[in-house]
Amino acid sequence: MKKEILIIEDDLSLQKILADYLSSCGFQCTCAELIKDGKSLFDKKFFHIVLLDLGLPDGEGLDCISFIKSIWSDTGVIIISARDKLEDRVDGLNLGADDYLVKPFHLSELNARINALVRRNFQAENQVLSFGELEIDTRSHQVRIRNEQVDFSRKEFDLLLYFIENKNRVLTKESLFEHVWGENPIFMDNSDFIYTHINRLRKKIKNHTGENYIKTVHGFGYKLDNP
Amino acid sequence: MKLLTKINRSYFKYGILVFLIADVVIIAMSNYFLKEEIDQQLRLEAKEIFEVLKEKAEFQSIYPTDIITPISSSEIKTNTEKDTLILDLYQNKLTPYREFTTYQSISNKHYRITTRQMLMEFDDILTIFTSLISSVLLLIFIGLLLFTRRLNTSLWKTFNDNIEKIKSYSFTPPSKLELTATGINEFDDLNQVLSMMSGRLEKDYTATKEFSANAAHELQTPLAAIRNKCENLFSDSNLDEKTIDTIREIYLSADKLSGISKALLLLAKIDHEQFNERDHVSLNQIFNYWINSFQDVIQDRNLLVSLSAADNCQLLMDKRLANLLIQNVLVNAIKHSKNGEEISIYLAKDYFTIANSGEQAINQPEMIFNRFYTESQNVGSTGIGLAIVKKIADHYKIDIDYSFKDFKHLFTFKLQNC
Repeated sequence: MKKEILIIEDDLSLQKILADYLSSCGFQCTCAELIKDGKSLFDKKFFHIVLLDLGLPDGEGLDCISFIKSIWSDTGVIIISARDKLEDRVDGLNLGADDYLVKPFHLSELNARINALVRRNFQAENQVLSFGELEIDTRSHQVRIRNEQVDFSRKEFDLLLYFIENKNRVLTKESLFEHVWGENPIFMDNSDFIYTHINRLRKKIKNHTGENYIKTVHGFGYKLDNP
Repeated sequence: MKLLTKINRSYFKYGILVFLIADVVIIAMSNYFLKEEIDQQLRLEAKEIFEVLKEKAEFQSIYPTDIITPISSSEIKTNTEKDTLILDLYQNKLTPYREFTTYQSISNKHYRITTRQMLMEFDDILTIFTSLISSVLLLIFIGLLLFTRRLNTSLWKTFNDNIEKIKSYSFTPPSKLELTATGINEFDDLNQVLSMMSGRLEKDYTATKEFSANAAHELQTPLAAIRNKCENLFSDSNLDEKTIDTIREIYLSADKLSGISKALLLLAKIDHEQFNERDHVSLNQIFNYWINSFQDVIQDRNLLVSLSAADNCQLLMDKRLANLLIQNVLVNAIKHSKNGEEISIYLAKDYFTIANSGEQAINQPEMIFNRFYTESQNVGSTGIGLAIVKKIADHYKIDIDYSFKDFKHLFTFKLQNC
């Protein structure tokens, strides 16, 4: 069964991008422009995840969180806002939001966050992800390649998990850096840096499988693909 | 100078002028009236002497006040009044006298009757009147002084209360400026103007703040759209080399734009004092935290970062700003270090320094803290990191000093609120 996502975002262009992208990731998306619409949709139907913008035409998205949580406490709320996390992030998380993404964010990052939240809230029994000969246990942080346990460092694990969650999609260097090393506020040129780490990961997998799973996509970044 | 002091000084200056004029006028007038009075008396006396002469046909002269001299008819002149000086035999000095001379005839005998009266010496008049006037004026002045002082306290009380209110007035947290009515038109006018001004300022302030927040929101959302569209394109495999490069450039520009607008908003927020919490922050801890979080990059570039602290400096500032400051300072050093170089950080009691190697000194050191100034044509360098550093430093009155020595860029931050 597809997981249901409710997107409350007043920018129609972004709303469409999010809906298209998440649909292609295998989610069922419903969109609302206003808090009012979002609430009435939510009243009728269960959603696994709500993506909530903060500054909406008919009010403050923050006020919506307790409403959502009071009806379905399992529903994961991810705030997507342009507002500075320094102030609003704390507010949002205090009010019961599960996660907070600052615009502009990478779609792949959004996908990873949604997946993590879905795993946490709805798939407690199913914490193992796999891709080809790779298997990754998100709870015990263990990686198995060809059924053999391989030691991965924390950062390598994060990278691999990110790749598997966005399998067959191109991940940019920027998105990879932000996901693993945090926000990069300084426009540092990290191409070489990312290259080194990807290469290390690539070699590790190759050592055990003899195959190259992580492809370089010229000009864009990297992609986890079947060899 | 206090208004009261100023007023009293003017009173004093004005009082001296009034005193001088009054002195001259009073002395001149009293001199005149005194003489009139004396002249009248002298005439009366002369008349009395004349009456005595008529009766007794003789009068014993008394020197120098009453002198009767028989004269011939040819010596008769008109009456005269004049000032004269006469030698005082007892004191042996010349004394001023008023003199009246009249000529009278009694049964063909002619007499010259001269009556005199001693005059007050001018010195004496001056002294007496001056001291009299000045003591009266002084009394009035002192009385006025005490009175205004008392009046002052009661009149200015509400005004001073209002001043205190204005002093403690601030936008953060927002409070309404409510001034007490004084019952004095001038002060109440001022209150009204101030209240109106504060209202206007408050409105402007909120508008600017809202603008900042809206700008972030309105700008970031389309930027997110641009970037995400690009990301969707990345997965399209039928693109030629040129298109790929173009998309990549659009993607990076959107990234950069979003970073710049965020940084500008941050600068505006610092200006608007939206970060005004005060915590005791340890520079040592913050440096360690950021060195740690950049550990991978540092390792990747083979940089050697050394942190030595002579004194664990506790700064009193907003934690978030302290972190931003250190983060940007450190990032700047990492960004401009070549592979394998050394970055050394030294923390002292009232300053800290960070040094990274370089080949040559910065051309225009005074420019590097300006927004968007970059020395190198480094792709992706916007020059806003150091502007943030400068803004935070200025906010906490931290002096930044740059020098270049032994192929090292050395930034010294002089702290004041340790």
